[in-house]
Amino acid sequence: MKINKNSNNSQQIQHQAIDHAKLEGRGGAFLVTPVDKGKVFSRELFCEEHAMFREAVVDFSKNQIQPIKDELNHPNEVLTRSLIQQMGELGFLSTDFPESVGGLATDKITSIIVSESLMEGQNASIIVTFADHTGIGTLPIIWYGNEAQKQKYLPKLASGEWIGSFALTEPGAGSDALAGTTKATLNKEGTHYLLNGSKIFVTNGGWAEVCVTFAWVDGNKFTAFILDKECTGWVLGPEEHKLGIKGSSTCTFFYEDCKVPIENVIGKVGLGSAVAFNVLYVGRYKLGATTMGGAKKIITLAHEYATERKQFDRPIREFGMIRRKLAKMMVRAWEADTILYMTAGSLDSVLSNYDKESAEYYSIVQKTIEDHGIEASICKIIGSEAASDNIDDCLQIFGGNGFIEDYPIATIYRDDRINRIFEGTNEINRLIIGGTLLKKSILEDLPVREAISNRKNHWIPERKFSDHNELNTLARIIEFSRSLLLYTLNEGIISEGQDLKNNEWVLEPLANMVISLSIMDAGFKRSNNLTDDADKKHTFMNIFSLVVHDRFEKMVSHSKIILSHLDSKDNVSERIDYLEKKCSEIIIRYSPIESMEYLVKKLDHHKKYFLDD
Amino acid sequence: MKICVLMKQVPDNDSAIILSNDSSSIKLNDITWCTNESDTYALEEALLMKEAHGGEVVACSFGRESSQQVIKDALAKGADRGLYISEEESDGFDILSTAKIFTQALKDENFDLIFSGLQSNDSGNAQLGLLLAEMLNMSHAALVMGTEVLNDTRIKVKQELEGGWFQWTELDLPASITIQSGLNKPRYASLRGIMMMKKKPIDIFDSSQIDSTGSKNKIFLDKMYIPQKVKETTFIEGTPDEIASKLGDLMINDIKVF
Ligand SMILES: Cc1cc2nc3c(=O)[nH]c(=O)nc-3n(C[C@H](O)[C@H](O)[C@H](O)COP(=O)(O)OP(=O)(O)OC[C@H]3O[C@@H](n4cnc5c(N)ncnc54)[C@H](O)[C@@H]3O)c2cc1C
Repeated sequence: MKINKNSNNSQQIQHQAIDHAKLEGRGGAFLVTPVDKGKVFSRELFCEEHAMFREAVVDFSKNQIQPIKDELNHPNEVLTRSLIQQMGELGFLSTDFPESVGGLATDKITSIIVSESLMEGQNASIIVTFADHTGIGTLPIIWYGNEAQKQKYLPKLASGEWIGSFALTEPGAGSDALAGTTKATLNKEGTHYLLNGSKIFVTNGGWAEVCVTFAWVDGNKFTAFILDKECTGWVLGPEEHKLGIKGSSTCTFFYEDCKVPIENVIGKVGLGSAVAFNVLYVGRYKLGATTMGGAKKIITLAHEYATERKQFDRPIREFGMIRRKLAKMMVRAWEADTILYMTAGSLDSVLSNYDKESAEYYSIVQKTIEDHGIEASICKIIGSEAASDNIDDCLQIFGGNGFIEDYPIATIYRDDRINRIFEGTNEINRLIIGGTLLKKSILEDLPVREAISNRKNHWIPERKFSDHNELNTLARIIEFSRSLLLYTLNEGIISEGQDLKNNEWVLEPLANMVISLSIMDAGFKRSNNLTDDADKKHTFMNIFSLVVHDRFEKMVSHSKIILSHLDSKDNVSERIDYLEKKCSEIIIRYSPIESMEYLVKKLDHHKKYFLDD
Repeated sequence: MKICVLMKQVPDNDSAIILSNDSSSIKLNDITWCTNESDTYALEEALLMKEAHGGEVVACSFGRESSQQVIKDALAKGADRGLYISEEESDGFDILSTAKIFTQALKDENFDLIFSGLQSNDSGNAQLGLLLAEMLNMSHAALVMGTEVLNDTRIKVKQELEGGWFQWTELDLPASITIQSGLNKPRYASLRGIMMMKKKPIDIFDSSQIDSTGSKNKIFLDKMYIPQKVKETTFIEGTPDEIASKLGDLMINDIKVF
């Protein structure tokens, strides 16, 4: 990537045309697509089927899970299996399964709807069992398995008769998943691999009939295998005692000359890292969906308690500090919702062009999902952090009772904590966002160079972005933020070169800027999907202006952290001065209190997160 | 067995009910709609019967545009066909006029059985199934808690009587039967069922085009109100024994919980 080193001069630069239509359905497109040049999917565009899918899952969750939610907080294999089998009968397990093995092969939007709506059951353990089974537990076979493997395993996994699992983590290999030492050696007859080593923290481990696991062949070929109950030497360790999700199973596996037929190699010998990492992308956005569902659901509980609890002769819900919390909870949930459906819609916009039964379909799915690596990580981070922050605020609203086990929030608080750890810790996901951004920029996979150069002297393009005045003002802030990110990225690359990808001090705030921009951008594009309902539009404007202003401030502060670091390294102050100058050119006028109060008044009426309907 | 299930869209129990300013109707904007509860049991009974004996299940609804949703839900659960009688003002029809409209829409179908819920959760008439039996010349049983098909022309039903008593009755087909909630376990819509729903037909009747001569309302709604909740607290005083005996007395004779 060749970028003028003297980055702040104002010499005339040729405008470089970017073909925005071509970027539709590309991962990371939001980075370089102005708000008026792209579109996103959002729940406003649900078709009738989507709405009915949602109703069906909500109906099931409310009636079959919610009444036994407390029982499900203790490990209970029989109960869990019966629920998983019911989900299998209703098709909830098989949205991603091909039709040839009895699956539904729906769009990705539907699998997000299913994951999100299961949270209506208000039990995290069963969701973890479900998500592990339908995500990393079965996707490797769906995507990379050969026909015989698919026919052997998938029908029973789709029906829930068998439970799936995924064993990658080892005592010495967590975030650094390839640091594992489990070995696979071909036996003399050439019929079986003998696996030796151990795996830890295997979700569904105690119950699973099938496991996708990984080992090194010949010391240098990381390979994925399918284990089933015929494999001798697959030894189950004890259940872990966990902080939360206590109704789910988490075990250690020991492989003691574990005998796996060569037919059970997934893909090819040596293909293991692609299998492991690609399915994790899906695990990530699906985890984003369940946590987004949780972030919404918890608002009902917080609001209900704040209404009932009286102090100083008033329900505490009337106090400004409580109302601010409730408003922020709504905003976080809305952000997660926006990002999740934007991502699923982008995946579907590509995948809908292909024949699901064709031989190359699943390799296109893999490529498309890998291309959306940034989005998948954003979904995971935004969903899990929206849930955590909302649950923390809810606990605070409960006061002392929040700390007491007799009230539901204590369990929820513990159950939620894992979401920032598994499917890649949020640190690792930020690393992926930063790293992928650099890769896509430097390899010119996205026209980032063109965008940087176009924005050099025009942080806000001179044009009207919307006929709606307020939206136009917000659009200017978003375009400013986009330029801010591009500027910061460019300065980082110029100053640090290749080292940038290893400098986490910088990558973390950079990833945070990407996250914020993605939300602002998708939010704006979501406005195009609204109906003419004036009330809904008004609500949208209130929530969206809160989002934009808050995210803008965060972006400026993250940029300052990066630029001041680069300046001090280079012993100058030009970047930070330039940023100050730029920021002084954009006028921000808004009143967050009024917008928050508007939202909470509506919440007082609806008594739940109301932006879905 | 050709079975018709009458299904009505009613406000969900959790839905906030707000009356119009003149107390003559309910404001429809904020209402979440659902299928009338006992109708979902009627549908399940029909589906079970079809699964055991073959045939066709037709879901039929009369009402405003949104009522088609209850038909679609029924199709997603396994009904074969929908029959929608469109009428934006259906709330203004009294039950006799409603029955006349249904009669016109259903008379040429020659159903073996018409199932309906015992009563609707909103207007609670509990008469439609009975009126239809008369108008379509079918046998009738109300409050049905169980069914057993005897042969092509006869069915046995279990009906709920007063005081925990039941009665088995045999009926000739065709019959119109009203179903009590709880006799079976209504299924959930499966995702596949929802995907199949699109391929199933819904026939539409415009109620204004149905010859409903004589279906003039005889009953008019005067006023609606939300029941006032009254709370009465009685303090019982005395020794523990006296309190216990007074409390027992109250429970047996006044509150009648025993
Ligand atoms: C309940 C539960 C269920 C699980 N289920 C499964 C499962 O089904 N299958 C499976 O294979 N695994 C599973 N795991 C494992 C899980 O994915 C790992 O725990 C997780 O990836 C983190 O690895 P680790 O625990 O070794 O932490 P470490 O990798 O040791 O990380 C410790 C800390 O260091 C940070 N860190 C590590 N590397 C970096 C870096 N480069 N930059 C910045 N920070 C870094 C991490 O973010 C974290 O904060 C499960 C874990 C739990 C607790």
